[in-house]
Amino acid sequence: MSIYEKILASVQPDDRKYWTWQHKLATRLIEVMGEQKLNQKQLAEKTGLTEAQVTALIQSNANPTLRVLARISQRLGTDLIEMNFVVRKTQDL
Amino acid sequence: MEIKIKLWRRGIVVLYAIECDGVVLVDQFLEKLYHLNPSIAQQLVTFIEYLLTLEYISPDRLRFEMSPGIYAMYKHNGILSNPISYCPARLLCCYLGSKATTMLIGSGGLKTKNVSIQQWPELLKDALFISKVARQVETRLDFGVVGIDSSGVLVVSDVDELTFEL
Repeated sequence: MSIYEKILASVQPDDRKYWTWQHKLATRLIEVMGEQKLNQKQLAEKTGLTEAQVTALIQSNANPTLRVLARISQRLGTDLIEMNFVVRKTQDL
Repeated sequence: MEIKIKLWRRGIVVLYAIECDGVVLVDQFLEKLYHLNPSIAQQLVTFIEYLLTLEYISPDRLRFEMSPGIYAMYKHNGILSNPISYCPARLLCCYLGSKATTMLIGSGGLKTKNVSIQQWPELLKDALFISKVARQVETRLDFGVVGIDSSGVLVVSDVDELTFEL
């Protein structure tokens, strides 16, 4: 087993999911910036975030709340993420 | 010092393993990084795994040197806060790239804002080492501080403006 594989195997599943979500969010945000031709400063102004917060998002170093994600999505006019919560029917609960 | 570049591929991701005097440094880099900060090493491999899932990679996503992880490694090495500290781990650099984009990882030794690189023999050594590597992979070092111009000269920007003749 290579060092790479050993390190990968040492990653806790929830950490891996969390970091991957961060990367996906960052990737999507960068895509939207490209589509709307926004730089980081313009994105910050449009979403009400600080530039530091935008930088953190893009660098996969942020853990934004659902409220913040909702605000960003609303102000950019596009969803950054798809929220497919699993909601059971009442009789299943 | 003999330097060879060997490709280490995983799907669309390419790590340019740097073999220095017969020692492949990419494994050393990961191992050293894991020793210094396991979480950052884990994030790096997770990021690579994530890259493998993408149909394309935005060049912006490859600005890995700006990530808190790698930057934390710089701090760990005391580059900014305690410039006397010198960590050989800074030599353990590797490249993460895809298609036309290639990025250098782990060359924190060049990233100093307070001290002229010429006053640091170790940094100068690193710079020359990296410039040789960059020339061999025919790429440019693009982390906002160091670049290779069209003539293959290493240019350090930011506060220091230095050119190294190869």
